[in-house]
Amino acid sequence: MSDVKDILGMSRAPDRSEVQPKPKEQKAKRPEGMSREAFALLDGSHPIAPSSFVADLAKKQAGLKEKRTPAEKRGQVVWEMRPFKNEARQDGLELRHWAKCLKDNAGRVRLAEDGEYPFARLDCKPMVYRHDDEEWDNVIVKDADWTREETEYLLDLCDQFHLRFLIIADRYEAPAGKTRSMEDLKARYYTIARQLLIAREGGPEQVAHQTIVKYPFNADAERARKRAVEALLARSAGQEAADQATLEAARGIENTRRAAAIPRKQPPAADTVELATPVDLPEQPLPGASSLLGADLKPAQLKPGVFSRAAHMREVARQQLANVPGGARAQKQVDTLLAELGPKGEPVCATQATCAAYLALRADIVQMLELRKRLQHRQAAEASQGGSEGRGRRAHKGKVPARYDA
Amino acid sequence: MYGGDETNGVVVDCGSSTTRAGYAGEDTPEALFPSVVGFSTADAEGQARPETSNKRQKTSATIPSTRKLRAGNAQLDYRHEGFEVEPVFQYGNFTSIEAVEALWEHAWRDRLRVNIEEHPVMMAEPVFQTKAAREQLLEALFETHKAPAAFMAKSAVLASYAMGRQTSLMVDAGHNGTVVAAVHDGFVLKHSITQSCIGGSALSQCMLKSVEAKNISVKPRFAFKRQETSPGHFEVQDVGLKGLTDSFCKFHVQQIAADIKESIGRVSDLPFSASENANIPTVNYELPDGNEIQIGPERFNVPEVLLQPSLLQSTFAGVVDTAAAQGASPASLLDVIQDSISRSDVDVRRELYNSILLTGGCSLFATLRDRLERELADAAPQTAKVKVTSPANATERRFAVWIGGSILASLGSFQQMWMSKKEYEEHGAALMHRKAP
Repeated sequence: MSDVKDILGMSRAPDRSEVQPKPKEQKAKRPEGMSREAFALLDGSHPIAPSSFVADLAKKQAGLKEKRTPAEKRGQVVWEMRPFKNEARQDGLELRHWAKCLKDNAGRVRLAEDGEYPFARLDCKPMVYRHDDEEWDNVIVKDADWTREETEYLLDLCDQFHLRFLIIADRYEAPAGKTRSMEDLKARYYTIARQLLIAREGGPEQVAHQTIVKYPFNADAERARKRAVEALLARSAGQEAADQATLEAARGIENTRRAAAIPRKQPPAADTVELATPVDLPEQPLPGASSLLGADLKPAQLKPGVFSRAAHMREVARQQLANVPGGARAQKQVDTLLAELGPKGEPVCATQATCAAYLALRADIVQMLELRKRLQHRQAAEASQGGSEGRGRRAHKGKVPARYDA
Repeated sequence: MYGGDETNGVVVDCGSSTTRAGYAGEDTPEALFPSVVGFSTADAEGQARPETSNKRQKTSATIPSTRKLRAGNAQLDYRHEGFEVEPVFQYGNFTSIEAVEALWEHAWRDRLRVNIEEHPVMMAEPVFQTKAAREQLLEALFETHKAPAAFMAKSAVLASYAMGRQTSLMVDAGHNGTVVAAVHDGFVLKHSITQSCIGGSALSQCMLKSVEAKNISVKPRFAFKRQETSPGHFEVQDVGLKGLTDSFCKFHVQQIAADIKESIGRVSDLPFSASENANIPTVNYELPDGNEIQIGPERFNVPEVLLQPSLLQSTFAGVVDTAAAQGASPASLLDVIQDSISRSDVDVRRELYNSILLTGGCSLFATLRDRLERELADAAPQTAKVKVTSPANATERRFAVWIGGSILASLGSFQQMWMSKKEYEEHGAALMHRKAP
């Protein structure tokens, strides 16, 4: 290039004006909310889908995503031993505890959380009904047994022990020196509470649903109950065992009585049913012979084993049915006839007599069916042929086939 | 820790055998030392008694009020001539306020090394402590030691909290005796407090008598020197007890006897009779001077005294001075428990039977809990289910009261219950009876 410049007579120094400033390549800016790694995966060919960021933006506007002030703005977390005020105390005692503080760049330290002491609101007490002077004069019914001092002492204790009467009764040391049981103390307190509640609310109707008004304290019932509990605890092991035995016996008697009261289903009287047994069935099974019967109503020859009479009977009946000539139709006929004639289904109780009767019945049915079939055939044949004798001569319609002897 | 807010409280539990002290929020006490004080008889002589305030009326007969009281193992464990040793608590009540203060100072100044003016103090007190004694202690705490805040909690309540219960029958089998108290909803039922004077100290004395009955003398460690003559062989030279006071020697011999009782004593599963079991296999124990002794039926016989105090009249007659125990007679653990329950309200009895908690030094006998449960189940009403619980960990069993104090003092909701110095100045020590009834 340089000799061309010589030819043209141009200087050799590079010409700044010729070099056009290249348009600065716009580097795509990573949108907020997208991570650096994900952004690096994208290249210029793919436009960044804005939909996910729109969702984020909407969330931010709605305030769902919490704005975390960056650490630099907040300050460094530092723990300091600081005195703290406890709102539940009245004397202003300031004890010290470790408190989380924030130290900013200038070194100023302030508390991270400021507010009331979180445990101060745990100081809660149940409501104790206390009277003032006016109520003492007007509302409270005077009780000869209770002086005003003693009543106030009782109410002080109720306050101190949060209405736990067990402890109040335990620590009660009346100024007058009287010993009071727990029921006396409860009775006095609940009477006062009831009277005060009714007076303060205006009338018995307004507060009729409150427990104190609805169920006034019954000291006598409490005393009786406690005596019963004491008696229960005082029983010895022997008494306990005797009681249990008596209860068991009573339960047994109860059960038998209940069972007897149910009307029982009467079983059919055995002697009214007549079993038509085959004549040749022996009354007693012969010794040595099995008492299970085969189809021929003789003792079946079986391999030694355990057999159920009903199952064996069914098996025999099935075989009998299978042997019936004529196939399924004949079998069905047997079944329908059995249903018509005999009892419904198999014998309820599978004894030798019943099984024999059943099998005999089936055998008879099979036989009868066969006979009936034969009769029908015979009748049918006669009807078609017009006669029943000389089948050979008549069948040929008068023409006698040539005999070999003629 | 939710519910917790530590304000650097210090928990001090002065028991009848040891004093426990430490920081609130921890699970074991830092300082543990015997509840005895020693004083040199030489200090007291030749000093006129200065005019002390007449509020301090409770002084012991033997401890003169001017000498320097020393406490702690470092002071007690080496040979001191003319050094008297006296337990601070006799059957629960402290002998003199100076002795208690000596214990406190040793705990705070020498062991914990805290300036008590900066720390609220949680004190554990015995359940039967009188109001006057309480006020005396508070006075000493606020006026002499200038604590910023204090609280006095009953030991039964604290032990109950340590086991996570608000209602229980707390059986504290301690050194000077057993105290049974019913705790309901965090308050002690005063009418149910019963005591027995048979405790660790009585059992140690019984064990000592059994050992001495075999013609073996238990020598305290400072009474002899052991020199190695040849490898593995030691020669014991008696140094003698010249110049040492009786109380000092007695204290150290008791400690050895207590160690024998603790290491080999066991409660048998069934009521034990020494005559029937005279031939049970013996166990070896090596005394500090190298003497090996064989302990046979005494192993079971000594702890059996807890459950059969009649042995104190037969086998161990004259060992324990039962007449000296004020208000506490020798009674078996079973009787004491049943007595306590029968004095409570009927409604709560079943619950008490179901939540009997066993703590204290004597509960460290591993089989005591089972035996107690079995015998109580026989003796208790049939409708009540008996359950005796004891912490599984030996440290928790021994220091249950201190641990409960640590828990209570570090609760956030407790911080409003301290009695501050300002309240003491305004209302006097009697305010504590209201704050901690």
